[in-house]
Amino acid sequence: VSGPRWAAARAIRGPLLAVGSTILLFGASFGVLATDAGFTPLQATAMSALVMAGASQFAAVGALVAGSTSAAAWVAACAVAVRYIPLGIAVSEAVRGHGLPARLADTHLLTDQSVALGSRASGDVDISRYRWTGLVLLVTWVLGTGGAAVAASALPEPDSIGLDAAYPALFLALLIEQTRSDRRAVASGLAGGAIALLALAFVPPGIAVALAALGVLAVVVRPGRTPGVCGGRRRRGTGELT
Amino acid sequence: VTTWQLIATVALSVFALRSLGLTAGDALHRLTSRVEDLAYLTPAVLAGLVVTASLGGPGGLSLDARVAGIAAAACALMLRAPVLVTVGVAMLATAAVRVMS
Repeated sequence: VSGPRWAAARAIRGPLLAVGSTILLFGASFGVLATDAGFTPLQATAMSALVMAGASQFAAVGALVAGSTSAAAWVAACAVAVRYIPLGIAVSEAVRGHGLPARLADTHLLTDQSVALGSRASGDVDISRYRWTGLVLLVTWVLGTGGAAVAASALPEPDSIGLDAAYPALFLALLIEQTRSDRRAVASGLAGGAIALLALAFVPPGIAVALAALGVLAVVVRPGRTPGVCGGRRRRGTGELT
Repeated sequence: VTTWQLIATVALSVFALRSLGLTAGDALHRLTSRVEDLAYLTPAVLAGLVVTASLGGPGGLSLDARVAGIAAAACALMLRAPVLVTVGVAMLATAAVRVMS
C-alpha cells in the first residue's frame, strides 16, 4: 500500500465520509423501491453493482412502477445518463495512459461525485482521489441496496405507507439539487415538466418521461449563448446523484 | 423482456455513455463546444419523472393521495430539509390522506 494513494484518501476523508453515508441511505431507498417494482434482492443488488448510476436506476425502476414498458424504462435510464458524456470529457485527460483494466474500472467509477471530489481546486482531476471516491461510492451504493432489498420483504403493503409518493419526492429533491444556482438548468427542468404534464393527457407515463427530455431544447437551441456550465467538473460535491 | 435483460441493457448502455465521454472526449470537444449542454438533459428528465411519478397512472393522468405527498415534499424542500426527510414527509402525508379517505 503506497503512501501517495492513502494521502489522496486522507486529503478528502471528510467529503468521502459524507458521500459514503449519504449513498448508503440513498442505496437503501433504491433497494426498497426496486423490491416494490418486483425485483428480487439479488436483482436489485446486481443492478446497483452493474449500473452504478443512482438517477438512471431510479428512472428505470420508477418508469416500471408507473406502468411503463421495459423499452420506456430503458429510454428514461439512458436519458438521465447522457450527462456522463460531458462528465467523462472532464476527466478524459486524467485517465489517459493507464492499461485496459484500469481504463475499464475508471469508466465504471465515473459519477458526479467522483468527478467533483476528484477535482483539485485548480480544476484538474487527481486520479487517486477520483478512484477513492468512486470505490467508496460503489461499495456503499451496493451495500445499501442489498441490505434494504433483503429487509424490504418485512415491510407492510407499499401503498399503505405511501411508498408510491417516495418516487416523486425523491425526484423532486434530485431536481432541486441539480438546478440550484443554475438558471439554465431551471429552464430545462421547467420545460421538461411542462412537456410531461401535457403529454400525460395523451400518452402513458413512460413515453411522457421520454418526451420530457425535449425540455433541454429550451436552453440548447437559444442562439448566441455561451457554452453550458452544468456539465464538466463544476458539479456539487456531495449531491445525491450517482 | 425479463428483469435480468433490462438490468443488462441498462448496465451496458450506461457504461457505453460513460466510455463515450472518456475515450472520445477530445474529439467530441473539438467537434462542438456545446457538448456540455447535454448535461441539461438531466433536469428536464428529472422534472418529467416528478410529474409522471406523482400524477401518472396506467391510463395517463390520475390524481390520488400522491398529490398531497408531493406538495408536502415541496414544502420540506423549501425549508431545506435533507433528501431522506423530504421522502419521509411525502410518504407520511400520502399515507395519512389514504387513512382519512
